[in-house]
Amino acid sequence: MKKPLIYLFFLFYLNVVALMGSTNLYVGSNASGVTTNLATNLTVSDLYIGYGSGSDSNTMNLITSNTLTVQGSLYVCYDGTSNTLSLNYEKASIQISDNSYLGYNSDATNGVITLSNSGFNINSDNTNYIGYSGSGNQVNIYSSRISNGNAYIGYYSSSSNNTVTMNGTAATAGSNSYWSNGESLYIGYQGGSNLVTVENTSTIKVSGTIYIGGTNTNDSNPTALNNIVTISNNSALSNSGDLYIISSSNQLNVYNSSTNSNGGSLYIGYQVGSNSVTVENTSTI
Amino acid sequence: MNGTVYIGGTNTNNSNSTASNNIVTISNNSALSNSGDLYIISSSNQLNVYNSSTNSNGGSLYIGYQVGSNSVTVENTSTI
Repeated sequence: MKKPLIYLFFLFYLNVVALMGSTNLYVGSNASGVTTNLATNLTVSDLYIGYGSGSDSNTMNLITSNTLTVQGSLYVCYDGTSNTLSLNYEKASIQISDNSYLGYNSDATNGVITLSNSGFNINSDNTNYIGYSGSGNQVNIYSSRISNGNAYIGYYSSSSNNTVTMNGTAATAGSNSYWSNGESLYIGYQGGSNLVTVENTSTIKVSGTIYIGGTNTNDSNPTALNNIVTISNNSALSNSGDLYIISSSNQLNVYNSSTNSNGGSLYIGYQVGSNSVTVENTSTI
Repeated sequence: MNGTVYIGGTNTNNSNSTASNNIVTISNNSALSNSGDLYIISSSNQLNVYNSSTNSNGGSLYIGYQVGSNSVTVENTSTI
């Protein structure tokens, strides 16, 4: 029986959508200085921004209130330096089904994810790695929402000097930043000198446990030094479980009418010393 | 918080000898509040409560649970 033309067009449309959904997207593969501005909804499998040797300073921008759907994993700075993902438009969002990696290999340095009035959502069973093997990577969260299962900042010992900055006073007044961790948050899992700063009515919510400087079951804690978490200016770090500060010279600072609330216990220097907790100016812990 | 505060190791930890020189400072109208015990366990750990601040524990306070040379300092209309 002859199919109506509109039926054939519908089948063609479904095939195109399926093809897009099963295709990896590379922004800068063994190339530098590539910029991609996305102004429509898009679905891809894995997304790589900076892949292969010499892949430096590549950028992907979401420039309208569109949604980028990643059915696999997101890799910002799989290799190379200074590769960037920016969501700078109100209500722009990215939905990730698997994991997100910022700074995947040890040569992947100074990668940046910037969120302004936008959303960054990872499936609640999956993980947000901010500095997997690479160092000097940063996530900037301005009046935006971010969610994931577990989150690791500085996963391997080579992954140091990564930063997360949350700020509630970006372009849209009254739109505060909120980071929801459905499981646990690790700040310096093996890496050292990682920095988390939560400012100006921003909130980190953790449903599990918070670990600063290693874990209570980790043999590589000696490298997880000098990690710093600062909560300031009417901001909050809230978790349902315990909070561990484990290796040495790690800090938790709670300043200026801010709060750290733990549903469980607080361990300061679980294995090693010279850690500090400072609570100042009408703050509570 | 609902649980226990441990400064410098835990009361069940074999590695407490390395958990020294940890410092907790609560100052300027701030508070450390927990419903359980507070332990200061290994050596040379400090709890400082300054300038109208409060440390309130629902349970007991142990200063030097296994090792000595720890300190607790409460100053300027603060409470513990």
